[in-house]
Amino acid sequence: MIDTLQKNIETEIGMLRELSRYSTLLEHAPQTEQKLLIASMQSLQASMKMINDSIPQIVAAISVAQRLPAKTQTLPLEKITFTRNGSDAAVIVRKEDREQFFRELSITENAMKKMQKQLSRPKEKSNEIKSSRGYFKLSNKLFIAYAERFIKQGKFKQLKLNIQKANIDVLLESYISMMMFTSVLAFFAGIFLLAMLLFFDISLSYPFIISSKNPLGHRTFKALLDSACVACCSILSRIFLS
Amino acid sequence: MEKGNVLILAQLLASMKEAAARLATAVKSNDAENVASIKKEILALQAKVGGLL
Repeated sequence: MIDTLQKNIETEIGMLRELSRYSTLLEHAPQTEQKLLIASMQSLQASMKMINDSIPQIVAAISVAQRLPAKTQTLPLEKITFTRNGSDAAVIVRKEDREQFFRELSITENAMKKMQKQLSRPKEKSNEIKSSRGYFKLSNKLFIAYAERFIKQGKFKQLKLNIQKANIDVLLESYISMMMFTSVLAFFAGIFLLAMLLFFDISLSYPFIISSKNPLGHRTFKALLDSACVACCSILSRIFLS
Repeated sequence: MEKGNVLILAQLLASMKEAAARLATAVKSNDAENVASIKKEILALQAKVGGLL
C-alpha cells in the first residue's frame, strides 16, 4: 500500500509539473491554443483531485498490525494504468471516480493532440516571419502612427484587398509601415549611391574604386544618367513581370 | 490555477512524498506510534492539497 501511496504522489507531482508548463504556455499562446490549454489544465486539475481524494483510504489501509485473514476486506479503490507522455503510469483512485478519471484523461489527451496538430502547422511560416521580425518591429515602431492615419483617411483600400487575396499573414498597418520604412531606407541609400558615383569611379580592375578626376558637372550628369538607367531597368522589369 | 497556487502545491506534494518515505521506514521498523503520527501528517497535507485543487 505504501508503494501505491508513493506512486499516487509521484503522479500528482508529474501532473502538477505539466500544469505549471501549460500555465507558462498559456501566457504567450494565441486564442485558439488558449482554449485547448485551459481545457487540458482543468482536466489535469480534476484528475489530480481524484488521485488526491483516494489518499485517505490508502493511508487508512496502512497499518503496523497484521490483519486477520477473515477480516481482510477489499478496499473501494481501483488501480488504473494509462500511458502519459509516452510512458506508462499507474494510479489508484476510488471506484466511483474511475469513469470520471478516464473521461478527464481523454480530454487532456485530445486537447494535447489538437494542440500538437496546430503547433506543427504554422512552423514553416513562422521561420519566414522570424527572419524579418527585426525589420518588421522597427518599421512598426517608426511608421505605425502614419500608417494608421492613412488608413483612417480611407487610403490603401485596394491594398487591403490584395493582402487578403494573397493570403499574407500581416496586418495592413504593419504592411504600410514596412512600405514606408523601405522607401525611406531606399531614399538614403540612393543619396549615398549618388554621392559615391559623384566622387568616385567604379571599375572592374584593381583597385575597383578610385576618386574621379572628371569635372563636377560631367560627374553629376553621369551619376544622373546612371540613376535614370537603373530606374528604367526597374520599371521595365516590373512591366515584364506583371 | 494561479502560479502562486502551483508553487504551494509543489511544496505540499514534496512534503507528502517525504512523509510517505518516512512512513515506509516506520512501517518496516514496526513503530506504531510514529506510523500514526505520520499518517495524520499525510492526511493533513492531503486536505490542504485538496483545498487548493
